[in-house]
Amino acid sequence: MRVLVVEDEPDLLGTLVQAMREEGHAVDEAADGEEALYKAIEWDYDAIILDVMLPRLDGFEVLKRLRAKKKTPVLMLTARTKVNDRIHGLDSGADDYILKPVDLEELAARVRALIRRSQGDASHLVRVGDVEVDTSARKASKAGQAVPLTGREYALLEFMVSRRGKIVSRTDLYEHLHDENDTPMSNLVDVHVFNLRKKFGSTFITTLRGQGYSIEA
Amino acid sequence: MSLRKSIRWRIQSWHGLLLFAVIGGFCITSYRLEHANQLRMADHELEIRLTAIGAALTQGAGGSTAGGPPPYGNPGGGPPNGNRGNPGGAGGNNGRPQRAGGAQPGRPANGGYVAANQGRPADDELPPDDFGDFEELFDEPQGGNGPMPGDGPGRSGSAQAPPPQGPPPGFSSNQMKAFFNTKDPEPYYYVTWTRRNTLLDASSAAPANVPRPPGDDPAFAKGIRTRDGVREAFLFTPPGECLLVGRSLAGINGDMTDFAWKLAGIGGSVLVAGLAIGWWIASRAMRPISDISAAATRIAAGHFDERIRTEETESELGKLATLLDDTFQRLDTAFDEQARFTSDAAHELRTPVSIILGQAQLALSKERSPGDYRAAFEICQRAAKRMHGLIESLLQLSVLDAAPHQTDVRLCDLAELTHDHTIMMQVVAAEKNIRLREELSPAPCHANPDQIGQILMNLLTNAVKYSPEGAEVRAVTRVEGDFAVVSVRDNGPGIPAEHLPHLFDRFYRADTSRNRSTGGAGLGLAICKRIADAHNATLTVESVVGMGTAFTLRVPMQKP
Repeated sequence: MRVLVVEDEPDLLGTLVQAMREEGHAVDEAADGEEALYKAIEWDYDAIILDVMLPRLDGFEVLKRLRAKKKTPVLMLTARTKVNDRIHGLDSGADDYILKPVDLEELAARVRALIRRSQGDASHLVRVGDVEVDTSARKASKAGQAVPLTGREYALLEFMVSRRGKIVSRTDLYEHLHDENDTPMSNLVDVHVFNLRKKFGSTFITTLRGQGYSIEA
Repeated sequence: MSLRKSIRWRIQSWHGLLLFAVIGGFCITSYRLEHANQLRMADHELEIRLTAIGAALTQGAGGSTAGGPPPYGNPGGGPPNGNRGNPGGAGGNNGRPQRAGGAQPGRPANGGYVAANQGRPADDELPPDDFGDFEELFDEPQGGNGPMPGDGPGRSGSAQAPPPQGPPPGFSSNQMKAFFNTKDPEPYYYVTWTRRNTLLDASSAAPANVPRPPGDDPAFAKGIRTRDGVREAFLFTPPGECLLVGRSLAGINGDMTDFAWKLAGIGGSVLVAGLAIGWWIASRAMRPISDISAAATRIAAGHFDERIRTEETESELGKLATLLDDTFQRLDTAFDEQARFTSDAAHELRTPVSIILGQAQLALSKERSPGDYRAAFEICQRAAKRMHGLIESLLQLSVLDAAPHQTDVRLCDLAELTHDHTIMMQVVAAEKNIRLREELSPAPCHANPDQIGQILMNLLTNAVKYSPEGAEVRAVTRVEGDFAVVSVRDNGPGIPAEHLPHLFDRFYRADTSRNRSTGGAGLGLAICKRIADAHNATLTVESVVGMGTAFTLRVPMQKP
């Protein structure tokens, strides 16, 4: 999944980005409100982690302007403990908030839950035929047998499974599995799809020529 | 608050008392004036009758009437000039009523009371029966053509000759009857005494045992007395006889009682109306107090944004309300600033804590290379240093806030202090290829050199930090009037005007696109400002975007 982290403190931004990447997300970063708003509108992020106190545009303002255009799930990150701030944040259209100092595990779990909810899944366990994907443990199994996956393979699988029954274009896959700094080669997606088919069966992912890939619901 | 202790109640009480006193005084005065008036009118009536009796006595005794006014008192008629047909009537040419002597032989000396100063004959005592038929005087004249009330006395006389025993001049028999009408509810009465205090005559309505007024002053002495509920006018004739006319005061007293009740009713109504109006006025006057009280209650309950907002801003209480509102506003602002300060401080502390916690969690989440651990430690160290700096700044601010005036001052020279600190900054400036120039002339002042040095260090650090490579920073000291002045100028990017008023606010950062590696917590200039305040010094900033920035510190040369 592709996540935008907005935080003006460089060391904290670095920490959050590293944590999200180690969670398997493709992570973009922004250090001020204007940059955050630009990126949030430009790309279809699966989730945005948004600090409140930001230079240029504060988090509330970014959220307000973003909500005029997009429904991207947003998790507010705030150092303020005042209830008013939290209410203000949620009322402004935030989907969740987390207080500093941040517990990275909690942050990761909240981001996962946020993404899951936004895609209409209630549980972290998703079953497609005899394939089961555990988004919480980031593991997959086929007929009860655990299937070892690389990070990229799991990310692609999770993304395809979250959009099961729909056609996922190669552009979608690029955009959601790579961050802004990646320069993926165009056939890299095809390689991952080839590997997943080897592990879950050749019919698990179907190719729709000229449109993209699909997993049957 | 009990009603009795309320200001409104007190105002109302005093108002009521005052109103009561004024209305009471008015009513009592009115009553007394009216009473006096009634008595005067009654006395006037008594005197008319006294005069009539006197005149009747004169005429009745004399048989024929002398021309001229009634001898005792003038009830209002002009001097009668009639009765010219009367042979003795012309005797009044000296303006005095003249008794026709000898008209009635039985009373030879009786007319003397006309002429006490004319050598009248010896004043013999009159036999009591002389006045025995006195009441006959009031009989209807035989001819029945006596002057009617209202006729001029002169006209009657000129028309025809008076009857031998007519009424006294100016008073008809009917009038006399009317004067002493016994059918009146309160009839007038008369009593006469001789000089020797022998009762001569008394009308039937006269109460028994009317005491003779004391004295027998012959000089037309008159008097009025009030006795046992009656009002009596009396008169001493020159011979010493005494005439007295009286009437019960019951009628007047009854009228006065009615009048008193009316006054009481009107006064009471005015008092009630006055109290009601007073209550209303007091309510209006007290409204700002109610407003103040209500607003203060709400504010005390924690609604610090509440204001009194009275509409009567021109009244004394309105001004008080406005003053309180201003105070509340300042308190509210102070509370807000304090809350914001605490919140900002917490925020500033939470960020480095987040970094340390996050880095530790990441480092421990799996096996990492020594380089990764090292990087994590470095990040943690930076965060810890920041926390340390922040805590030191907060502590210093709290110390400065607790002691608003600098006491540890001694004579120092801003030029020397500036030189010391530019030397320290030279190394840092050289790294950015910034030229650090000094233009120092002696600027002695009384100050705490450590704290002034902190200001200088802060200003020089900012100038170097925010100036681009190759820029120039100048430190200038001089004396301006009574102030030792030091300026730190750079030709860096400048600060936009909208930030300048907030530059010395705590946690305020003009550099919004800050890189935290260069930016502090936004307390440096706030501390400088606080130190300057403690020295009664001023710290000001001028800046033009694209031209550079100049901070100027002006320290009083004399001890504060």
